[in-house]
Amino acid sequence: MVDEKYMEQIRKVPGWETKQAFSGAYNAHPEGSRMAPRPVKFFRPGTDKVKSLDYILDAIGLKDGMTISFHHCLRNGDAVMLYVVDSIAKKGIKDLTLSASSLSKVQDCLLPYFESGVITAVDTSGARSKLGSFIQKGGLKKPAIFRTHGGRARAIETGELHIDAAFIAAPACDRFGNLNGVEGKSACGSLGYAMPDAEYADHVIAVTDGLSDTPLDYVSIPQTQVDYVTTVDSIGDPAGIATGSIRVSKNPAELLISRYAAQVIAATPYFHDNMVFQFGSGGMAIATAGYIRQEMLKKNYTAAAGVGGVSGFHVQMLKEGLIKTFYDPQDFDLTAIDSLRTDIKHHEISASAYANPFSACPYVNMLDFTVLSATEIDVDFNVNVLTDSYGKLLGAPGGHPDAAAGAQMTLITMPLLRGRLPMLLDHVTTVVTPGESVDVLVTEYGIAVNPRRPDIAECLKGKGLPLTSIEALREKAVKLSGKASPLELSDKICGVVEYRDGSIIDVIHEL
Amino acid sequence: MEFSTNAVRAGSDAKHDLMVQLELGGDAREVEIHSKVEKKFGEAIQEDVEQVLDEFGIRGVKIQIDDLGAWDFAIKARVRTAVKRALAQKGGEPA
Repeated sequence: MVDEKYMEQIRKVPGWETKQAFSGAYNAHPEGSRMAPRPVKFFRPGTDKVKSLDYILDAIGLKDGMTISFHHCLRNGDAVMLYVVDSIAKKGIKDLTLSASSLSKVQDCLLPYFESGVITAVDTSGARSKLGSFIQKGGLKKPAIFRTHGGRARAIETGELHIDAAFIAAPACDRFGNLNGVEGKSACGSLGYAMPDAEYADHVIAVTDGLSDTPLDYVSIPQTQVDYVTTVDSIGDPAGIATGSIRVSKNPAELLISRYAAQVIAATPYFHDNMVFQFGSGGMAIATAGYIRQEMLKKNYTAAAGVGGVSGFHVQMLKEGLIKTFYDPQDFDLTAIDSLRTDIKHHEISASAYANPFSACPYVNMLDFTVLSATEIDVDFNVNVLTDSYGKLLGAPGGHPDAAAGAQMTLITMPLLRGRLPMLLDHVTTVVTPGESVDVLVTEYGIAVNPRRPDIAECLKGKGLPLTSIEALREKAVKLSGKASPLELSDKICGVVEYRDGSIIDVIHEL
Repeated sequence: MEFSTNAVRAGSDAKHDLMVQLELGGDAREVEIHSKVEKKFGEAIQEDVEQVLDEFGIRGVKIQIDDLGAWDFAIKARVRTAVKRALAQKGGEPA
């Protein structure tokens, strides 16, 4: 976890004087109001909201030092961030904070605007590739903030993350500003990750390639929250926005891990009729869902609800009636997008509803169990999903810490080694999800239950499962890989990793 | 690392394999390691190479390892093969 010497550095950053170090997954004592301030508006009836971006940037008074935001629902197909940032740069505006619900490889195209000082601070879930290297070369004015999906919603709602202008890529949008993500040539599905921005930003601008002259039937973000609409030829590349088909793992080791995971789940009381679950959209999580589906059919169980990102496999279970309803902050493929548009049991929810810890009950708190992946895990069950084995930015916290904290039982499915590199370590390179919220590690070499959960360990006895301790698995990993030299990381920090409650759980080092 | 036409090779450029280039001669061990896991396993690879050279009692050698994340047993096996090929070549016998 985070060293006090780094906390001292962090508290020297203007505005971060009161940042706290992580002290426990359920140790938050929030104070104050949920409502971040937002200016009131008055639009005379008949006002045309559809304007050029150039006009809008002047009208909202965008200037140096402000914070602009974007959602990542267009994933690796997004063209809106580049379009907007380029237009802003042409006005000579500098020193902006880029707040994005995440940044994908496609955002490498923003590098010139980082190098020229148009963007000097970053608030995101992930950053990778060229932007990741820029951050790790110490290129920003202050450390980048890496948040969970729920943590970002919390930061926006409490006013900690104040957004001056939110630019919302909208696959479909009408002239009044109603918009959705399920229609149009660039449909991306749920706009859950744009909803907090739409609700709390000072100015909200829809950027659309699907302008409708008649009011939309399906509304994800309502006209009451949208100040301006601007049109472009294309908001993104459909091939990068959604994949055509689901990927189920074919790797034998991964299938073995998935089968073990399903056997673990089926042996616990969390597997029951009317259960609620979340499966990630990685190959192993989907394969695990496949085995769970078979167990459900055997026992004649149905799931009351599914939560989290949706792919075609989840949709199949929804259509079969094996999942009765779905709460969906994000979609990954065309089947999922189509289901969200047409199936009344398939509900679009905001990032805040999904995972914000500072609300009466985010949807992750419904979960009986969740199956998640990991880049690395350690003997204390801490999980890294943000950096690789050398400390380089690679992934994103996303909803990982949120789902792990919310679920009654969190399973991590992960190969013990990737190539020669052991993925189970004494200490993960970067702590993103605390071990306190992780219950079971399933690998191809055995299953380890967190000693905090003797109740789960008891359920798994006598079930023919390869139970072992996490220390024994660690020894196995070392024996297979050989002894690794310790990783030397720079003392200079270029990023902070926030836990969902806003405390600092780790730092990112310069490379 | 520069090699003469007498150098031998063992291995491949496949994932999790390695290529060994080796040439006997001189009175020192020159070992050059390139590995995608060098930061973590550079020292371990060096030790494995030295161990195989000790097995054969070789003092004078130039050896270059291009490793793509091979396990220790593969590294030792490839180096052993390279040494045997070089010795066979020296003795005029096919390896």
